[in-house]
Amino acid sequence: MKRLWFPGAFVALIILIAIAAPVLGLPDPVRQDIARRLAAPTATSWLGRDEFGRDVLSRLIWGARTSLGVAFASALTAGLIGVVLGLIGGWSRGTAAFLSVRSMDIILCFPPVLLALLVVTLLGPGAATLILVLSVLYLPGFARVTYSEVLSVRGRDYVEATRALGGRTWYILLRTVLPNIAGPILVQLSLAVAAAVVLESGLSFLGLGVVPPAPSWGLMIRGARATMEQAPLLLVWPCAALTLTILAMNLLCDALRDAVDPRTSGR
Amino acid sequence: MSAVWFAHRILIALVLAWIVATIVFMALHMVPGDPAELLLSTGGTSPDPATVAELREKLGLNQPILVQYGSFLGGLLRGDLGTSLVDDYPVLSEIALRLPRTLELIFAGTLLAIAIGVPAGVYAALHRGGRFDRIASGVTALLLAIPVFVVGTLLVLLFAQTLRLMPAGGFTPLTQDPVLHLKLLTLPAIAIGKGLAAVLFRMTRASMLDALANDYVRTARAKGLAPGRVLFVHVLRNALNPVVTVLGLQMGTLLGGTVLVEYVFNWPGLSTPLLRAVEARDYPMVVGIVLTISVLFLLINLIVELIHAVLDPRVSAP
Amino acid sequence: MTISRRTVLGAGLAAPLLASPLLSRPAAAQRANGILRFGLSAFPPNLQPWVSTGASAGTVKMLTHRSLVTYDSKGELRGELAESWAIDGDGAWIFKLRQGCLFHNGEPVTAEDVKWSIEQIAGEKSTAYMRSQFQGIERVEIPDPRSIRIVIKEPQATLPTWFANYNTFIIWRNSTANEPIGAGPFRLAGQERGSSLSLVAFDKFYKPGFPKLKGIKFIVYADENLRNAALQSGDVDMIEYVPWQSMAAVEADQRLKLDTVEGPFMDVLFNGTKPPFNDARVRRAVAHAIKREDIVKVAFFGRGKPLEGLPIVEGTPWYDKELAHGWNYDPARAKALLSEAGYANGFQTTLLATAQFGMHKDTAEVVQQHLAAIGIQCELQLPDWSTRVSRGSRGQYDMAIHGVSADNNDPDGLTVVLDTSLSPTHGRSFKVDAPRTVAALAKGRGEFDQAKRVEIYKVMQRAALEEVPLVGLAWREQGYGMDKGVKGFTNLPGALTTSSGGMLEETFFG
Repeated sequence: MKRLWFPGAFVALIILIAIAAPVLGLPDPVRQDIARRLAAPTATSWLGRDEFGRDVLSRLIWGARTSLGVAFASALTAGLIGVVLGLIGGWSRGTAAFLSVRSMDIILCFPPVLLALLVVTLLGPGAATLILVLSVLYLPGFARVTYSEVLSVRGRDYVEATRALGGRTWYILLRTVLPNIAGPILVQLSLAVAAAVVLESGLSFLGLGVVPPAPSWGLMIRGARATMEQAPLLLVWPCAALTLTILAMNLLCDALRDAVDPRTSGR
Repeated sequence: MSAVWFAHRILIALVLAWIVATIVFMALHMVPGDPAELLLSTGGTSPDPATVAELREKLGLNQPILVQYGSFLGGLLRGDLGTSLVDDYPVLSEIALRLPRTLELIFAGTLLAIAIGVPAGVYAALHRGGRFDRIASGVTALLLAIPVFVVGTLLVLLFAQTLRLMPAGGFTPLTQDPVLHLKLLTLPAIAIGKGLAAVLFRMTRASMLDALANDYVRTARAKGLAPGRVLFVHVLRNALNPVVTVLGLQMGTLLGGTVLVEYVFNWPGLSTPLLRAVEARDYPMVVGIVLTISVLFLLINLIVELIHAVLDPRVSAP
Repeated sequence: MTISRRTVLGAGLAAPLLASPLLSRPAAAQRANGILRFGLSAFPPNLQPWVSTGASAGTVKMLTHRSLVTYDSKGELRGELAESWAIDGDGAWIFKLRQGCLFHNGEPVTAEDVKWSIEQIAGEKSTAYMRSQFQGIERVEIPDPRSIRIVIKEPQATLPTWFANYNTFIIWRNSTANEPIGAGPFRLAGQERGSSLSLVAFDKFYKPGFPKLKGIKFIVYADENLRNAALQSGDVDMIEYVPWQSMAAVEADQRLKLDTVEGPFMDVLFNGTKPPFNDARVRRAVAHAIKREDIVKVAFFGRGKPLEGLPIVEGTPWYDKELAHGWNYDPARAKALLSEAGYANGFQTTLLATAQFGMHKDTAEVVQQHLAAIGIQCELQLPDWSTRVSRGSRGQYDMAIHGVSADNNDPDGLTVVLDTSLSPTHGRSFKVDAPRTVAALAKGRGEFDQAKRVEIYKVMQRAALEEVPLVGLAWREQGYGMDKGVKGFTNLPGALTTSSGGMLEETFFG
């Protein structure tokens, strides 16, 4: 458990900053000041100002709310549904397995950008649409990984033993199978959160993401790409925030994996 | 893996592809935007509605959607994907020209990712918590964090604009100039491979750790098997199972996910026309490309399952 | 459509030009063989001679086809297939054909071809850009083999400019629909759909010594950063649409030069079918509320000019300094107008633009901020361009951002954006009532006396300032970047900048 606290605190800090945005006394993240556009960092705006003269630090923190909110919501939704589908599929085989796993192939057949384009065009852009799109996109990943893990675990001695003892199916799945396959799933989760943040930026780049002027890291990166030669730092801040978040998520998931996995938790 | 199983699988794949094509066909007709109006509005010009109406008629867009769907299915059965609404170009020719390039790009990127991600993951797992493990974790986060369109722009800025080592994107056939072909392939392959390498690294590392902790590894060690043999025969074989799953998933995603890379490097593959076709509401082109991508994806899936069966004999498909 | 041998040729032709092995001296080899490598911003959707498919297509079409007239480097009409033109006593236009003009297949250009082309454009099933104008032609006569007489239902002062549009070409009358044969200085030699097009000089072009280039290789770079990188690294000799943020770098580069004009403009459109924008006072409030300099700075990196009146180019006879600033930035006045209209406390509304194009998105964000300052809170709606177009022409919006250029530099060229009595499209306000503006436009179209036309269009400007069929925001610079060795090219003034591609006929390596 020791290894858990550092990454845990790291992720908690990031989330805390994002949640605390309204009480941090930050300048309005959408307030433009075009006379000072692309201004370098100063004592009043620590990270400088963007192409509209808006405060970058404020946008970074407010953007964290949007970007992380979307990423966590979609990764968790996808993870929850995906794992359940994978468990059903891997355990029951037969028709249920066929439906739960094969139906995922339909999603996978869609090029992600096309799926996003169609859904966003039909429902209108915005955070809610984005969460829907991203969770649909990550669903098959969770289902697949869970499914294949269950397949390779179900024949193992300890599972067979629990089954022989007459354990109920759900009990076996949750208490015996799940902990033993949690490693790859948690890794998948950290990857999904990371990928969701990045995909959010990609979709915003194509105009399918968060609606301006609301801040998001993706929109910040899109805007900064155009001013790359004039103000390269604007590109650095959101990318750095993204990197740190992903690093923290990775560390946390590694630690969680160790904590949850019965085989490695002893160390 | 009998022939019956195989045939069954292929049949399922075809049905799935048909479902996907149908969903795309219907969804595309539902989203706002009229191909005739859009074509005549290129560049912001305002077309005369009477002209738009005439073009709609000419393109057959005034027929009921089920009639259009019917003629699409009819064409499909004859192996005809129709022609573009924009310039009457056969959809099949466009796909035949561009698909190999996208596949090449994905293949190069995946190869790069496997060559870097898998060994690095194995090494990091074996030396868990070591310096390499920690640095690699940081690099992985960085690779995952920087969006493809930023990496692409930076690579172009560095290699084409500043160092002038290679052209600013583009494509030349292998038969024309193999050296230049590979040169032009390098940057986009890096852009595609970087994320995948990070994903593979993490997946390999995680499942290696899992496998190393398993009883049978301990048993094997206890039996006095040499560490090298234990590693490769037992651990890697087990560890690669989820890695192959992820790889299969990612390859599929990449098929339609190279949009930004193709765009930023001007690589004339299949993704850019897909995006353009969606923007232009060029129905036959979109449906044709999606159908192709689906069939290919399902094919890759089948291959992944076969690999699984070889790696882990206990797995048999549902 | 287009050429049947494209697939075969396309792949092969793409290679040697994209892939100059002499990367250290990239331009040298191409210059020696007289082939210009041109970076296009978009692949022409198709190259049908009369259908409007954008400026990139226009650039190519102006080189492979010819019409009766064209624009010279100053933006004045100049004869092409026609030597001269005049109006006769009955108000009909007579064009005298030049002798010795040949189509690409060697057939001479005859009056019959001209008549046939006009009739095709005006045809009942036509999808031509100029269809509705040409349907105003009563009949086309051929008084003698060298003359065309166009009898029009209503007098048209600007009829010759119809033939300078890049969607009005003269095509050989026995052409098939898929293979239109033109009389331009270049022939289409091959293309790879979506990537590149190759033109070669037409050896029997009627103007001796032209075209000066042996060929042009168009390479499409959709990403503006990459297009600019291709110019700066020497992969191409010339590009269109230099991104605004890169203009300074192109100017600073000793090897390169930049040619810009302020041609296209950004504007706000309104839905006139419902409150509050059915009230001209509210529209005028919007016009006075926006500080245009901010748009120029943010969306165009200072590469443009505030537009506080109707989009009439400075320096033309129609320009009037006072009228050109009739919608000056004056938030107090804007607020007063809102109160007058009964919205003293402002209101909530929506602003439609597209996130697909940075300049539309950036403009919308600035407009949103300035409108909020006078109490108009608008929610931005930024769908993809296709949806934006669709919603625009169906009137599914309150306010919208648009960017466009007029058809030409004559005020009549503004009809397409100002005349809200025409059937709705995404490029003009939806059913906004502007009767005096519309009437003045119609009057100007039928007047032949220059002095009287100037007066009519001043009246039109005054009316439009009050009726507000659109709100002008900013002129934006349209820039071509090129190697200093590229000579003879001119970026045409004002709205004609998108027609500058025709100048490639006179371009050469010096």
